[in-house]
Amino acid sequence: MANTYCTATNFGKGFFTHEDRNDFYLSGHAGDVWVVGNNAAGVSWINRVTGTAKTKADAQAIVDGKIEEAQVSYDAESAEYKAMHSRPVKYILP
Amino acid sequence: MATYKGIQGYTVQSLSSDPPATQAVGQLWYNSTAGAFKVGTLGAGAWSSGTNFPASVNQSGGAGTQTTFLAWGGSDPGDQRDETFKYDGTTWTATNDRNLKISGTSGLGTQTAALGAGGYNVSLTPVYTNACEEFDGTSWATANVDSNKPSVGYIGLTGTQTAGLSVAGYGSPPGVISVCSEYDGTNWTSTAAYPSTKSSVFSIGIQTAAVAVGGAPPFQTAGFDYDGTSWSAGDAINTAREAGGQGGISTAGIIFGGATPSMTDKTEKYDGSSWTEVGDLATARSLMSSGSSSVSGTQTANLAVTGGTPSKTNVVEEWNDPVYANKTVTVS
Repeated sequence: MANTYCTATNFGKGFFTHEDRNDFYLSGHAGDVWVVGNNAAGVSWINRVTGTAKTKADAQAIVDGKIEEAQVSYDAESAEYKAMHSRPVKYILP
Repeated sequence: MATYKGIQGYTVQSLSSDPPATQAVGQLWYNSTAGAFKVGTLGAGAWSSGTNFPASVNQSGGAGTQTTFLAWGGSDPGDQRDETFKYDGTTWTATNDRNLKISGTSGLGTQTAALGAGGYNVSLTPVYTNACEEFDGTSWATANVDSNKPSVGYIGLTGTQTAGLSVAGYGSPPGVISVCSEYDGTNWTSTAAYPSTKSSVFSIGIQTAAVAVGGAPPFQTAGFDYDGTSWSAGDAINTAREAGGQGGISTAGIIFGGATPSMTDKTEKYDGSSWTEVGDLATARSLMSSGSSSVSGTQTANLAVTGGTPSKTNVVEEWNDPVYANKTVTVS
């Protein structure tokens, strides 16, 4: 399995370092969902940031829910805003 | 048991603490405090997490460098803002507010000599405005408006407070425009139109040597070079996008994030002849403070502040290239 999944709150500086980025795959998504490369450095990072492990399905459900919230917010925006910005769309986590 | 000296003929230096990573590339040592062998490495450019911004916003203006940044305005859920914050590389500190609450705005310059131009405020009629303000390190003062762009936001803005370049944008009416202007610190003067009518282009460089790429609608990869007088065809980026972050100069530039229209985490750097993909942002987003335009930082040290992910966010990321690191040698 190439990736593993967790939720963790980005507390700012030190949450992930330049070294982390070079040591394992990492991408952040709505709902504090993180997709983490499944190697020793990635697993160590999840422990360091006190991440809560999620299955891919659970992580995807969290992201989908947040995008649905963003869609509701978008729909309530002005015509000016909509003229310049696209409606958020769901996507599949890597 | 064989010793390292016995095998190699010399000993590994023993240090009680690690040397600075920038001075240790290629070196091997024994950290007697940690009881571990260490090696100094030089890695590819990467984004790390920075100190979170005090609010979750998007479409704010920005100017400055990774360790001397200024961010102002933007939209939080439901309103435009006038709050302004300084960043020193570690801490965000509130400073005096802008005079006009503004979103979809653009910035250029430094933390002590910044210019904010254009944008929108839903309480105005029309909502888009050519209002300009200058920041001197302490407070904002109104500046002359750009009469070439009466009601425009999402401008590609680059240069300095006394030699700025304003590229295209979006307003009401007539929508997306190609109008460009130069700023001399006092007045705006119309200059050659951008060859492609776009909003939220990426713009880097100075008034007499600028590069603009991307933008929408429709999303494009094409780029154009400006020499202070006219535009010519330039080099295309790899991922068509708009409204991301940028920095650097026309021979050493960087762009990151934006909308494709979905959010992208892609980062590309420019050497004056071609764009190359480098390390991705951890969080894909558009409409950053450093985005839709500012001269924020350089190709080797930059900053991505707030934005939409798609929800408004307070996250900050810091780009450094290369990445120096002291790593523990694992023996198995």
